Amino acid sequence: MRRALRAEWTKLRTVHSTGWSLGLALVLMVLLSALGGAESETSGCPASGCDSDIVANSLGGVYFGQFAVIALGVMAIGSEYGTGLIRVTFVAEPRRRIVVIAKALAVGGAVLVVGVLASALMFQIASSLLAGNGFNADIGYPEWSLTDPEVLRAVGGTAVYLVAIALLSLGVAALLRHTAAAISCVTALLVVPVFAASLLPEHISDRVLQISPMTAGLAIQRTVELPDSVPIDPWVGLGVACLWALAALAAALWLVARRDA
Amino acid sequence: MAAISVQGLTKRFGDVLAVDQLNFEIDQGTVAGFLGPNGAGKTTTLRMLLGLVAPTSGTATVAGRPYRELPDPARRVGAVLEASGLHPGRSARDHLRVLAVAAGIDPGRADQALELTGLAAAGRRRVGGFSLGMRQRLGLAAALLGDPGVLLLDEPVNGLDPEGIRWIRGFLRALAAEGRTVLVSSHLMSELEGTADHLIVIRNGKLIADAPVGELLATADNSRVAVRTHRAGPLMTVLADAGARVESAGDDRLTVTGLEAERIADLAALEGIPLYELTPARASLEDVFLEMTR
Repeated sequence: MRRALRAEWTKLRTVHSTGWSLGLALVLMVLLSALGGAESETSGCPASGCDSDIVANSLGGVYFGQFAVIALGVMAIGSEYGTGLIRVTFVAEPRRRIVVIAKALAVGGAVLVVGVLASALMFQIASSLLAGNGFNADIGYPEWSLTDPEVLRAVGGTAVYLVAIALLSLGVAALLRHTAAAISCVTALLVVPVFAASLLPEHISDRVLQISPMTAGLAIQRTVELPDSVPIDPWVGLGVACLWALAALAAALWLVARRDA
Repeated sequence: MAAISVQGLTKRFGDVLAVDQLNFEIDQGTVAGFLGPNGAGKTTTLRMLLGLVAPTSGTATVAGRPYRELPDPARRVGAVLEASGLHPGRSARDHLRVLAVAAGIDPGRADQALELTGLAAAGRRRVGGFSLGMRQRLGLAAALLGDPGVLLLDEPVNGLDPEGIRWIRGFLRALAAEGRTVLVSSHLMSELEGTADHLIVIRNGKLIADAPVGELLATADNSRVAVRTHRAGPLMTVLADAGARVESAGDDRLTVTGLEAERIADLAALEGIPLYELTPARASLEDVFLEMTR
């Protein structure tokens, strides 16, 4: 297992697409969160109280950065199927499940590090921009700091969510054995429920949002209950996203040993 | 013990019977050519030998065991699967280092393997810019990482220029001289002529020949003679009367079977027919192969 992990780590390290997609993920998240923070304006708090979720808003870049993470997860195995390298890999290490697990660990580890970094930066930069734009204690907003438990949960949870998305992508790519198909499939899985929910009656749309990986998973960023919040506990939501990843990986592990390569 | 053994090997893909009850064994130290037209089942057979494709029935073993049960397989068996199988963005050296690490081989072997295959100067270039010949060499380098005693090579000559073909032939002979067992597939007999000592020929997934090269050549009708004369017509009659089979090969050329060159010369002299060319052509393996796979 150790040598499979070393091999997969070396694979990731030795292609430029890894640096590009992780770098892109980081830049997209931080930049778009900062933009969001800089562009937001407050007209003061209504009588019912302040209703913006500063923490979740400052982490909003994840909605964009996650697509670069999908690309990374898919490419980790999709490019091998695309080029036939997968057969060379399976000849070098015939225990195919170990190969897939090693890929998951290598990709998951890389995404976790970048995810923690990106989430912390997003929060720091965007929340201070928001505070500067009036979302501050003067009109009753709480002043969050990175060490507050809710913030730690949201920031750390965002990183874990990104790992789950990367592993979901890896699993789907291993199942479909095709890069473009896998990217489309995962993207649809994340985005379609949002549009679908907007068209469905509320009792059904709530259920759709509760079981979809993105809408459930990003509940981990919530610090304020709003009328349009996905009705799911933050931790349970993150668990749903992780379950999607685990299910995809489990299916991939089950099939990879049975299929002809 | 046979280095490579295939017993009752069968693979069915849906309606297609790709490999059908194949049996053969390759002894240690033999260079065996694995021949067949495109689509004959060569690649599927090699993939079954490497544990990539599961047989529908039968067994395929290398070094005495199914590949996936071999301890340290990369140290026993090396394989070249196809000219692709490379990530275009990774350097040749990194590609080999990844495979070495995965197989539990010292990554330092990567540089030796590059040296062996004449790629040392290109080691740090990205594989995406490699020519087909360089990709084939890199495939061989990967196969040799673990210094294996058995090599399975799928069409390593495919698409190479004449210089590349000559290089691979010399390389295979050198590997054989070191006592390695080599099973090398090709759809062109000429690629293997002078390299293989034994031939396995398949067609439509079925075995049609399994014999030493010399034996296969001996079975071929090898008394073909090329003749050139400006009086092709009369010579045809003379030779046909003497019992030969004569075909016109265009203009003033004839191809004669069933008569030796000496007899043809004598008969022509007797009739006063001048000959400009008289070339006994031994049947090439190519002819034998075409005959068998027709």
